[in-house]
Amino acid sequence: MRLIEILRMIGINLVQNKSKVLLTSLGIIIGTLTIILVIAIGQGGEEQIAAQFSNMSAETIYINMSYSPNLNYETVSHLNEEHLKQIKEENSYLRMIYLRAISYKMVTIKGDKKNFTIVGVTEGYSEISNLLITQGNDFSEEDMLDAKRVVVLGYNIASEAFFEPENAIGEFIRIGDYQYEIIGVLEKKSEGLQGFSPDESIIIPFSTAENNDLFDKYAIPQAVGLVISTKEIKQAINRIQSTLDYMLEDSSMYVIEDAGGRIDAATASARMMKMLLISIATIVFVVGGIGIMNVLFVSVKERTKEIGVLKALGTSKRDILLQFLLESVGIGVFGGIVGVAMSYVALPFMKYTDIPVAASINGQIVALIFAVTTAGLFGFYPAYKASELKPIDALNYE
Amino acid sequence: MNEIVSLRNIDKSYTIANEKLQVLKHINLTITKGDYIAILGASGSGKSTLMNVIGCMDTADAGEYCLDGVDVGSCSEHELSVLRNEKIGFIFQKYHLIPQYTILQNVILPLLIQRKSRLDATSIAEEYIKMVGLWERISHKPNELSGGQQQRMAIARALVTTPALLLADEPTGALDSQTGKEILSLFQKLNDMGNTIIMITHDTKVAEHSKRIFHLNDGVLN
Repeated sequence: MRLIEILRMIGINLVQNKSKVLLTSLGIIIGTLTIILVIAIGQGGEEQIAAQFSNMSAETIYINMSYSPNLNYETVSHLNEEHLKQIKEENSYLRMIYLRAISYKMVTIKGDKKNFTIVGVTEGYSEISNLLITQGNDFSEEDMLDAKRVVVLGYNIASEAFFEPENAIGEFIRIGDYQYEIIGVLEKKSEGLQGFSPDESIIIPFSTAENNDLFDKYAIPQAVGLVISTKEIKQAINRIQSTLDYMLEDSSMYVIEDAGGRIDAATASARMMKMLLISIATIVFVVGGIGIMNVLFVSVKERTKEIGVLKALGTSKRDILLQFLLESVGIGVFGGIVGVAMSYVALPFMKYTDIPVAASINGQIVALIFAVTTAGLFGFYPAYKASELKPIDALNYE
Repeated sequence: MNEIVSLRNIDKSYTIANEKLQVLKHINLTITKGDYIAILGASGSGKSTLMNVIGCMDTADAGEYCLDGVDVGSCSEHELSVLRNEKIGFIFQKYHLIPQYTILQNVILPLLIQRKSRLDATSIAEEYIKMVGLWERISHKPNELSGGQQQRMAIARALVTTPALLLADEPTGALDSQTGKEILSLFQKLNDMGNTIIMITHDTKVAEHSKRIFHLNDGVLN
């Protein structure tokens, strides 16, 4: 039979069995939709990570407290500016390093009381952590040395309280017993990978925070530094370790990590997530495919007589195989297209959740290929069974 | 080359529940062009099996079968399907039309199987649909027709390929006697036009419409 005639027969059959076709393709529709969403979520996650790390250089290293459940906050040795000076002196691989500690305090801005993240920093923080000042000025050396009561506001805090960030400059906020002058506002960052979200934080000189008792016992200082080049990261870390080993009573409480490692870990976990999601989607497809196979088997059974007639009239095995196989593929194409169409409805809804999504043509193509392949693979066996029927048995089937 | 069907010592047996059952025993039959024969037999006499063998839907265990000059015994499965399509027009007791297709779609089917274009197939089929008197019903579906009309539609489908042999299995079995007579007179007309017909039936009255009657008893033809 000519292919066009086989397709025409399939067309007639599919139209005749609209509701059955629709139910069968439901599995494929859901599978297609799942694959598209999964790829969009995977892609979204990767893009988010890329964006988060985009202004973080791989040369960054961190000296962090390694938190453990039985950590004693009273006795733990704190990093201080003394240590930092020593680390810097003994380490030719380090370009610069700063100390910071984070605590949470009630802050009054324009009469409103609210809890904010207070980040005490030493000199060099803005260069190392890529935090640029968009309005006003950064802390001067004098501010740091004299522990002046000055702060730099995160972008969101400034724009929420003062509408325009530039209005914040020269205003005062109250933390505890004292007033602090706002001398600068940070550029918008939209990321929180440094251990705090700069947009939502109040930056203050480390010495100021210490002198005014803004750090509680949980505000354990960490150090952030830049290595001269990524090649020296290993040496730099080793050198810092040896300095800490003799300066601190228990240096094992601190871990030294580099940003490259963090980026790798985050990317790896995103990839892991993507694989996980794809395997879920694959399961959906297998289930959908089994659905197709099931319906096709029923269809072959129902149409055994018809197959018998076709065989009696001389239709070749190949044509019968092709008819049932292409019917299945047709269901796959239909389900795939509907699934892709539905993804245009579903993806905008994802914006209302916190899950980052990035729709892509690739995702749609992959999903369509999956849909058609699944339908083809699972349609083959029933189609083969149909083609293998003996004409007399099929004709006399009741 | 006037021999359309030539059966020589055809044997066929089935094994059911470990018991070998010989259904056809040394069948010999020669049918020449323009013949109109009836094979008369009670149920269980082996007439369905004989019809399947003649119709190339089943193969004999032993013996020789020549259909319009082709040695059927040496044919592959695919060659058998080509033989069925080109040389045999089947007419079944239960019509065996495809329910979701219209009359035209059913009748052109054997021609489409030959890879003829839809246009050519349609013009050939329309001729036969006119001939069996269903022209006004051409776009109806089988379930919208009476039994007699369905059988005429099946006859049109059997004729479109101008087969060497029309093979009818109880063609009036599902019809009332009046309609049955109409179908039989159509057979007469087809035979007068030169078609070779084998009719298989259990009904002596039906068989009497043919030129020659063979009796099949327990797999023996005489």
